Amino acid sequence: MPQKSILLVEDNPDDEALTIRALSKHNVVNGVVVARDGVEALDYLFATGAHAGRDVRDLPQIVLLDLKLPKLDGFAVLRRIRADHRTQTLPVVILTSSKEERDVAQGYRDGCNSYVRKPVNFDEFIEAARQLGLYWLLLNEGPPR
Amino acid sequence: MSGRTIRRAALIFLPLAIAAVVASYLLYASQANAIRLTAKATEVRIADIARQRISLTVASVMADASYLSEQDALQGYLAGNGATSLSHLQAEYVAFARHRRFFSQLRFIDMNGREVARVDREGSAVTLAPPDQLQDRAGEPYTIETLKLDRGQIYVSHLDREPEQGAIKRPIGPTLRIGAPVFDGAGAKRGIIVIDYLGQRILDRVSDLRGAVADIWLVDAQGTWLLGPRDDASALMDPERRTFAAAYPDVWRQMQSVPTGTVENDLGHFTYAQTEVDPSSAGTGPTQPSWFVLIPTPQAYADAQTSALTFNFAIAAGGLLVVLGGISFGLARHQIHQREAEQLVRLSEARLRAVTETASDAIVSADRHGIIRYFNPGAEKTFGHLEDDIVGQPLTALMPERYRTPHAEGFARYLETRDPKVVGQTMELTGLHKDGHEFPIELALASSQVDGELFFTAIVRDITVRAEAERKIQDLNRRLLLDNAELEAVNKELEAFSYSVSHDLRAPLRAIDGFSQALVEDAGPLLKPEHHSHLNRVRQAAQRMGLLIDDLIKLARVTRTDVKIDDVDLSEIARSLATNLQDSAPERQAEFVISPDLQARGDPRLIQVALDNLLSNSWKFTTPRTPARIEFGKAVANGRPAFFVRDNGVGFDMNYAGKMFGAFQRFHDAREFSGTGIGLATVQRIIHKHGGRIWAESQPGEGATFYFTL
Repeated sequence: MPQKSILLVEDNPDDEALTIRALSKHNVVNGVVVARDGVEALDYLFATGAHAGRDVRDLPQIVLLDLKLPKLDGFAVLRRIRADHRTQTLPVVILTSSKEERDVAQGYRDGCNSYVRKPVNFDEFIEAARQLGLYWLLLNEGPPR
Repeated sequence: MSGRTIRRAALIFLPLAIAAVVASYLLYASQANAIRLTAKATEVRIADIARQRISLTVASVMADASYLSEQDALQGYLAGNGATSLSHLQAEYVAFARHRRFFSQLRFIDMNGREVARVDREGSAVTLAPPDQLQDRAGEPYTIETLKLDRGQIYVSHLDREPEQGAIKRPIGPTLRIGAPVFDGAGAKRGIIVIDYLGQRILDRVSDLRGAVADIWLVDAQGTWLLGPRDDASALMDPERRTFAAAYPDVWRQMQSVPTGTVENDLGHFTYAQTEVDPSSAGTGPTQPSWFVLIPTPQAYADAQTSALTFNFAIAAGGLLVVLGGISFGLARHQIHQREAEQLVRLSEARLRAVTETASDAIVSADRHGIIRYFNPGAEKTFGHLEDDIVGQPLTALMPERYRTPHAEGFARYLETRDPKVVGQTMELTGLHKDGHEFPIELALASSQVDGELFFTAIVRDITVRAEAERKIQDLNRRLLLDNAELEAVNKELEAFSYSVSHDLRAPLRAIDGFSQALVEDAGPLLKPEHHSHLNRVRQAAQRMGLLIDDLIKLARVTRTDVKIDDVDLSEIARSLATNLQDSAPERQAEFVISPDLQARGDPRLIQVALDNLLSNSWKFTTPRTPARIEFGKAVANGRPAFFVRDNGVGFDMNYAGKMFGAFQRFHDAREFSGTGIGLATVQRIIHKHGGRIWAESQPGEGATFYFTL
């Protein structure tokens, strides 16, 4: 039985720390894997590069994906996830600073399952993280493996 | 055939006809006169011939009588010496008479008036009268008269009826008696020779000439007819007949004074000639005969001689008049056509002149040598030259020096090839003003052939103003394009800016807020209360800045969003927004009064943003009121229907009403009412984008009303 895990794709260390802090408030910190750019995220998922040798079948339960990323941006990562049959059904939540309309539209077009803006107010952020963990890790029935 | 043509034809015809008639008449008159003169000359000649015939006939008989009086046989018989017997003389007379067909008798009569020998002629039979038939002629006038004569003299009787004594032996006819005295060798008078000549022969000889004239009459010295009017043979013999002298007394009187000539009277004219016996041999005394040959020409006869001429001339003149009439008519038609054609030409010329004289464009004509032949007032104004000065100059005077050679080459090429490279085209060229300045022109060139002469006409327009305007438009267009590109670049930049703002500016704020909270949580017990307060202020400032950024991005989005017009149900939007507001603060007592069915045309999303801002403002500024009352409806304001949002909130000072729609303008203390000061700016931007207006009415403490139109 694979461990319930979260792949957090985030380049900003502040946001990474705050996100992990928010998630940890609700005991979903276990199994949070952080990728700091798009390439690393894909390496992790497809067991390539630095993550070669990893069991590809061991996929996270949810991917929290930032859009503004070095090397490969979030949309490109999302498209690659959806393009590969192994990760085609993997739940992906875009978690980002902006809620620019075109970004939201683009995200859904490329196949994200949810779009959440990171609030400036940390209290709201914690609340958002709580709801995310509750929903995706507990409430939601993931795709069959 | 118009009346005009006929009138004009008549005008041409009348003088021609009069001249033709006069000329014809003069010619006719001279011809007729010539005919009359010829006729008269003929008459004179015929009269003369007749006179000569009579004279010659009489003279020949006189010569015979003279010869017979001196004949040898007669002299021998008179000598009585037996050399010549009476019978010998008789035989001589018979022989002589046989050769004289017109002698009716030939006699020798002695001094006693007794016939000694006589030969009679009856037709062609010549007979010697037997001695018992010899008669005594002593009482006859011719015997008496001839016996009186001296040697060499001859007696000639009148031509008259035969006044024979006794029975009439022969058919009645005129007889001329010629007598000559006979002298013997000793010079003693012994008797007379008498010849009876057939007068009819003389009359016949005269009447032979009648064919050439109207008639010939013969009248003796007493005015008695000898040869009367033709077909009136009895005239001469009729004793009751009036004489010529009685019939034509005026003519007769004239004839008595002049022996030969012409007499005119009412009936016509008479040409006459008096004939006389040769005076050298004529006898003396009152018996000397003379006759008048008369040629009477009645006027009708004279007229008949010219009547053929009259007829011919009448026909000729008539024909001439018909021909003249035709010619006149043709001429008239030709003249009228020509006049009409000329009138048309004049009219079209006048029209053309009016056009060219009043045209503001320059119109210049040149001949095949490129010499200017016409220069209209428009051209004078355009080029500065006066027509009088420039006509006769070459076209090149109107163009800058550098174009003259190409022009001359092009001109020559056209004349040679007639290749219409530029003819018939409109070109933009450069003109040269008299004062030396150059200016852009538009030129349309046409060539035309008039009576084989090639002409070029150019219509030239000074397009300085237009060219200037075109240049300006081009400049403006270029600038506009640049501006557009610049604007687009600015827009893109702005978009990139607001995008990066929404992403990147918020992350540090989140970190400030998040880590402040983390500090409070982790180090809470260690901090003094004022430290908590400071960290709280840090967090509030960060959160406020987050709101500011959000509102600014909204405003920017409204600004660059295109308006998409659709039907909008404002009441529905307002209701939904009111519900949201009430839900956000369930503890507040608020009353929303929203008029139903307020419809408008507009962009639903933008209108929702505007209404959201307005209702949120009211919600915010009615916080101190219990209950709060917020109204949305439609009313007439400032003379026109407008939507409004009214509240019973704190209101504001109207002195600042003008500033309230500017970005970042705030009217209230931030501690009392939160807000960024961007909401109303966004609303105004949206209303303006719909072409509407927004304004507000308020009193401090009395609530506020925002009106807007769409």
